[in-house]
Amino acid sequence: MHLSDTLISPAVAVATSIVAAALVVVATRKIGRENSRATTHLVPLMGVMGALIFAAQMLNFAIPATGSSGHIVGGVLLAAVLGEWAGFLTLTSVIIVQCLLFADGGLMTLGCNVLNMAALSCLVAYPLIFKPLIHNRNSPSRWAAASIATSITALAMGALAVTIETELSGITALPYGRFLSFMLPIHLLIGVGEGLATAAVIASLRRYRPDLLFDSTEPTARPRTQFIAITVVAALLVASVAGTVASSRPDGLEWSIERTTAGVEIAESQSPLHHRAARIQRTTALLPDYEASMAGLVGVGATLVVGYGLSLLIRRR
Amino acid sequence: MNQALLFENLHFAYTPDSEVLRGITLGLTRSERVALIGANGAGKSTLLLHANGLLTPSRGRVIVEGQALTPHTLASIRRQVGLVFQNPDDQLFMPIVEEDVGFGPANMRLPHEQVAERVEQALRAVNALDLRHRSTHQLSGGEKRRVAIATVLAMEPSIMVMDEPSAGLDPRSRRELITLLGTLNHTLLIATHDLDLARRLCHRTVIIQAGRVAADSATVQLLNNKRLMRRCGL
Amino acid sequence: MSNRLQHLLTQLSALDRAAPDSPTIDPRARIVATVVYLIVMLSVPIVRLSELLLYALFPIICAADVRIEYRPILRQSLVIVPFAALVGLFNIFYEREAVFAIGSVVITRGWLGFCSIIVRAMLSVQALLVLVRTEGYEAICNSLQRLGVPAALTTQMAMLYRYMFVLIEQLLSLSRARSARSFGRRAMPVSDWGAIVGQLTVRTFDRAERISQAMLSRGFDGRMPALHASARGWQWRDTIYVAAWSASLVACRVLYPVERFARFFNSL
Repeated sequence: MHLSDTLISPAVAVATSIVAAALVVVATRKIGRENSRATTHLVPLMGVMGALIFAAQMLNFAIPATGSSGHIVGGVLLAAVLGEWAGFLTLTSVIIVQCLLFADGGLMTLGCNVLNMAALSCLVAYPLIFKPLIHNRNSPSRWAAASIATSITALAMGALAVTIETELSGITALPYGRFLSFMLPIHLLIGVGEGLATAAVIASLRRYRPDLLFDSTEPTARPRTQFIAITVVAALLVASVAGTVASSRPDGLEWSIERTTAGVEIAESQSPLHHRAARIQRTTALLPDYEASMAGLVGVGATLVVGYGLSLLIRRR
Repeated sequence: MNQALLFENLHFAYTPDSEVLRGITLGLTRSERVALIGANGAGKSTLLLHANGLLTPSRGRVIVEGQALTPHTLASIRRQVGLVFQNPDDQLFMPIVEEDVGFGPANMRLPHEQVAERVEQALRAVNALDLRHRSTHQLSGGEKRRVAIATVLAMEPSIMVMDEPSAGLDPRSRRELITLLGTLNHTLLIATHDLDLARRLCHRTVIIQAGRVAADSATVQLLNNKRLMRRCGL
Repeated sequence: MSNRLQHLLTQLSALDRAAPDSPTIDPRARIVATVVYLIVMLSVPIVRLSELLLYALFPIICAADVRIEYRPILRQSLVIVPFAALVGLFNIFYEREAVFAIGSVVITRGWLGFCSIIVRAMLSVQALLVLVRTEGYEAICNSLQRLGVPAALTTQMAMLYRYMFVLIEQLLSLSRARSARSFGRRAMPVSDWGAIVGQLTVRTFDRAERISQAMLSRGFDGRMPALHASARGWQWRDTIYVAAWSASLVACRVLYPVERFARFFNSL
């Protein structure tokens, strides 16, 4: 799930970083405002819970019926004990530490990774699926079902986001549908593992310290927003599954083979000498994508400066 | 009014049905060193948490330098009463020693130079200036303990309250710690199981049993009273 | 488990040893220069593999500048190669137009893309590793705060790092009891895992409560104080450092020196 720098273009990196940074600023304000007295408790709690997720990731668990093992991402778990915004900020710090200490995910893809993992699980899947599912229904099976459903959705949305960001960057030649058809099944499986692990921790917390968990009687998102959100998420998922199925049909494969062989034929029809000339021409011809990519670079620089300026302004207020 | 720290008829309960403190009255005069001993669960740590308002008594009051502890005086009392916790891993929460020691002064919104100065003084006082740039998690048990004391010294309190300062230390670190505590001229209240430490540092000892003061007199006298000690689970 | 943990602990101790006493360049300057480098490097079109190779100099120079051995950095950056290769492989299949030929070997666009993806991956990891090795984790946290990252997040990063060691230790002792009773099975069943992590969560909440008390008794009021008492201020040479790197990186990006040189060489 950790997206590496190599697949991302600077424009996508900067755009996602700005969105992620904005969410971080919102989160810090939400936490400060919602419970100014509780902040003094929340600060150390978030710190140690981040360390706990980090430690828990070192310990693999077996994914049932597959013979493989996995480790937790922790988004839903963090949200369930800390609330969505504090959970988001905590998972964000985990992702940053993974990047800095292990180069898990690159520096430029921090924005992508924060959105794909922390934001989608804590700020989207958790409030829209987990909370409504357990609202006023406080049975163990409900909590387990909610954990699993939320984790699967979060991971599937994450996979979708990775595919979109990669596609927008245009570094890999892998077509969107084909890429998604790799990502989605894998992440659905990871989602099941994540969900089971989250459910197991929650079950143990419910037994010993139910007071640490989210209060299931707390009011949740209004039915209408919730309905719209679930529809949008479902539509995205259906669309991506449909795209996956369509692109993995044999004709898609034939098409690509056709295209690749055609490429080779062209290549073979040309003499080495011709090639040399072509190469020289290529390098002299005022650098084919020179202007487009330069404009991109300038754009990225300008966006960065503006974004940074704006964030400083917001913070000053 | 020459009491530096006074607990007056303190009552406290974590849950409504079981009181942990049942009317404790205890006063320390300025620069006095008092050892607080008692069996596990007698209420020592709970009492210490009242000294700077981390817990609020259900009955009774805490008076620091003639000032009663109320929500208004809380901030100023927390500057006067420094609390050193039992586990230095809970006390030292920043990754770098210097940052941790500077946390208290920085919370007082002192200018940078003054924070740096206090950090240096506090670390020098516990003989740990060389640890300044070290990572907290890499320190040995004895080093952690000394730094934990420095974090409180940097606040320049007049009263220091310590929970089990010698717990988990090897004999040499423990001797060094006792020497170090001997150099402080703060009013000291030390909760401890280390009777030798009590004997070396404190003229006066208070025994707590089941949330009440069971005995309060000269350390030598108390520690030699075998029957009393056994009765109090010591 | 133990391998991964061992790996983690060695890496972290290597990082801790790194922290310099008197930094010559402000960590903020190095962070900014690294970000500029990454943006410029990642913006090089992937068919221009020869240009991309020029950017390999940045981590080498930076490492040499602070006397960090480059070889371990290189070795560590190789870890990402299989992953990058897996993704890059598709470029070979999907982009078969020839770009040039060396003798009878035709080099396609896809092959250039494949190599570029690997080089990009390695270089970005190297730049990051050099930065973290140079400054150490804590200095980066502080610098990020001074660059405008909210204190809530940098404090969070600092505390996570501080307690990571404590909690890993605790988790080890919790799981040791369990692994002593289960020979041969590598990964633990989810239910056991959940029980262990749940237990650790409960203890962690209690710890958070004690830390909170320690913070309160040292005057914490919910607003994190700025914690860079001994950090030195921004100096002229920091500006020069950033400006020099930015200028040379952008120049490389705009002027395509390698291709110009190749052209010049060909024209001889």
